[in-house]
Amino acid sequence: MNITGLICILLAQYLCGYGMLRLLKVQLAAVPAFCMSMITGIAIISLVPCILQLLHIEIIAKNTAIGIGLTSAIFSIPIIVFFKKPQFGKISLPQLYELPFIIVFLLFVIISSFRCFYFPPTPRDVLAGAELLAEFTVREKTMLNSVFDIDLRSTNNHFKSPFLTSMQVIYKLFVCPFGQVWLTTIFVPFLIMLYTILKERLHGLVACFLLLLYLAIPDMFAYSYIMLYDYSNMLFFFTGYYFLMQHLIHKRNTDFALSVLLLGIATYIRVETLVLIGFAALMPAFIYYKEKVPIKTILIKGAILMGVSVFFYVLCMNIFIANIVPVSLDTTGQLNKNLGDISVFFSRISSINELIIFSEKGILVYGYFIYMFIILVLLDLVLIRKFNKEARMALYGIAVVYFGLAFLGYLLPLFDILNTTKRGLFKLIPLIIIYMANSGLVMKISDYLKNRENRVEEKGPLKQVVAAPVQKVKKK
Amino acid sequence: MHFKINLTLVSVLLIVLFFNIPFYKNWLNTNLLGPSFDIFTLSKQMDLEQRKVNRFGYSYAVYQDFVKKLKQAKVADPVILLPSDAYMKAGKVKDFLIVEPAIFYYFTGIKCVLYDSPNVEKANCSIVSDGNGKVLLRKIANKVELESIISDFKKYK
Repeated sequence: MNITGLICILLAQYLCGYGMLRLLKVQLAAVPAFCMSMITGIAIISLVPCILQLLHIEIIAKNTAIGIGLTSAIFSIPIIVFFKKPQFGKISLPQLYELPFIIVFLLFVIISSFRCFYFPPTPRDVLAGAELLAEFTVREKTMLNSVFDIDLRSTNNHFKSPFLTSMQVIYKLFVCPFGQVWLTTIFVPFLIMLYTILKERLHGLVACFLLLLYLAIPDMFAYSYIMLYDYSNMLFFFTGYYFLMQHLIHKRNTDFALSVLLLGIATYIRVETLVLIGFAALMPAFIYYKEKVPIKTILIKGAILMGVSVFFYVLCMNIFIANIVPVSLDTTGQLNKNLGDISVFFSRISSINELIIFSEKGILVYGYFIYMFIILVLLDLVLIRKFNKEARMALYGIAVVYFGLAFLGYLLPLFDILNTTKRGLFKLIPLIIIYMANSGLVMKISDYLKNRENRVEEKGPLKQVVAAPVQKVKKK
Repeated sequence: MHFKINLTLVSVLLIVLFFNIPFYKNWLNTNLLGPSFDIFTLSKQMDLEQRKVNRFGYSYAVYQDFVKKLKQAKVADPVILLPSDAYMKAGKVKDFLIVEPAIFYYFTGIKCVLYDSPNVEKANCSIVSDGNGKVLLRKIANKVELESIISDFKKYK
C-alpha cells in the first residue's frame, strides 16, 4: 500500500469536504466537522476522473493528481476566505465505562479496514460493473475502454453511478491495486459521527450500547468492507436526512444547505434515491405548514431540496453516464407497464416482511436489530406514550424508506427483494438508531444514569464547601 | 469514582452478555474471529494473486491457468467460447463456475463469448469438459468444429 498516496488523498478529501462546509457556513464542533468533511470530501474528489474523461484528458496518475490538487485548491478558497481562528474547546475524553465498548469498536474497525484492504472487490455487481470499468480505465487510461467491446448483455452495472468507478480509479492509481480502502475512510468518520450524535443525547453507556447494536448487524458490517453502492448511499441519505431534522428543530438554514447537498450526493450514488427524497420532502413541507411559514417559502425550500437532487440525477445519468458509457440505456422496458394495479405495491410490502424482515434470512442479515426496534416502539407506546420531535421525524424517515422501497419495487419490477431491497433497507438502520436515542424508555434509563453520575460527582465538592469557614460565616 | 467503576463493570457485563446471545456468539466466532478471516494468518499471504485465489476460489485459479496456456501457445487475439454451467455439471466437473463474459474479462483480460451470443463465430478457443470431471481449454481449428462444440453446448441449457 502506498501510504504517501493515501495521506495525500485523505488530505485532499478533508480539504474538499471542509471547504464545502465552510462554503455552506455550516457550524459544527471539531469532531463532527472533521467527520462530515471526510464524508462530503469523498463525493467531491470522486468527480475528478469523470471530469477528466469529459474533457478527453488521459486518466493517468499525473493528470488525476493535478485534477485532485486543483479541486482541493478551489475548495480551500472558502477555508481561507471564511477563516476563523480555531477555538480549541475542552477535549472530553471517553469515560472509564466507555472504554470496554471502545475496545470492541476498535476491534470492529480493525477487522473491517483490514478486510477492506486485503480482499479484492467481490460482489458480482461490481466485478461486472464499477470494478471492471475502473481496472480497465487504469490500464487503458480512459473510461471509454475495451470493456465496451465485450458482450455486456448479462449485466446493466455499467449504467450505474460512476461514483464507485471513480473512487476505484483514484485508489488504484495512488493507494493500492484493489482500491476499495476509500470505504474505510467514510466508514470510520461515519461511526464517530454516529457516536457523537448518540453522546449528545444519551449517557455514554447507553450511547455505546446503541452503537454496538449498530455495528453488530451482520450484513451492514459486511458492507463496510465489501464495496457496493448501498453503504455509501445509506451514509449520505442518513446524514442528509439527519441534517434536515436538525434544520427543522433548530431552524438553521446552514443545516438545510448541508442536508440538501448530502441528499443530492445520495441520489448521485443511487439515482432511485430521488423517489425517497420526494417522500422525505413532505416532512419539512408539513412542518412549515403547521408553523404557518408562508407558502412561497415552503415552495422555494421544496424546490431547492428536490432541485439539487434532480441536478445530481441529471449529472449522473445525462452528463456522466451518457458521455462515459458508449451504449444507450433503454429505461422504458424497466418500468412497470401496469401502474394501475396497485396490488403490486401491497404484495411488495408483504414480500419484504416475509422474505427479508420476519424470516430466518432477515435474522442472518440484520440480526435481532429490527425486532429490538419493534419491541422498543411498542414499549414506548404502552409505557411512555410520548414521542419527542426527533423521534417522530426518525419514525417518518423509517416509513419513507420502508414504503419508499416497496414503491420502487412497484415502479421497477427489476428492483428485486432479496438483493436490492435488502440492501436498500440499510437506510433504515441509522434512522432506527436515532429513534432509539430519542425513545422515551431509553431516555429514562439514560437520564437515570446521568442523574446518578452527577449526584455522585456533586457529593464530593459539596462536602468541602460545607466544611469551609466562609460558608459558616455566610450561614450565621 | 465507585459509581464509574460499577458502570465499567456493567459495560463489560453488557458486552459479554450480548456476545453470548447464540446468534451473535456464532457470528462473532465464525465471521469476525473465524479462522478463515484470521488477520495474522492472512497477513502472511500478501501476494496479490494469492489473495485473489483465496477470495474468488477454484474457478479463478483455473481461469488463470488458461491465461498461462494461451500465452505459452501464443494464440493471437484469443476469444474463448463459454459453455453453460449445466454442460459442466453434466461433464461431472465440480466446484467450477462459468462466469459471465464481463467477469471473465475482469479475471483474465481475455474476451469471451457465450455459446448463445450473436458474436459466437469470433471464438477461436473453448472451455470444454472431458466428461470425467476435468476442465480443458481447446483450440478451435475451423467453423465446423466450432458449430459442433456449440451444438454440444446447446444440449445442456
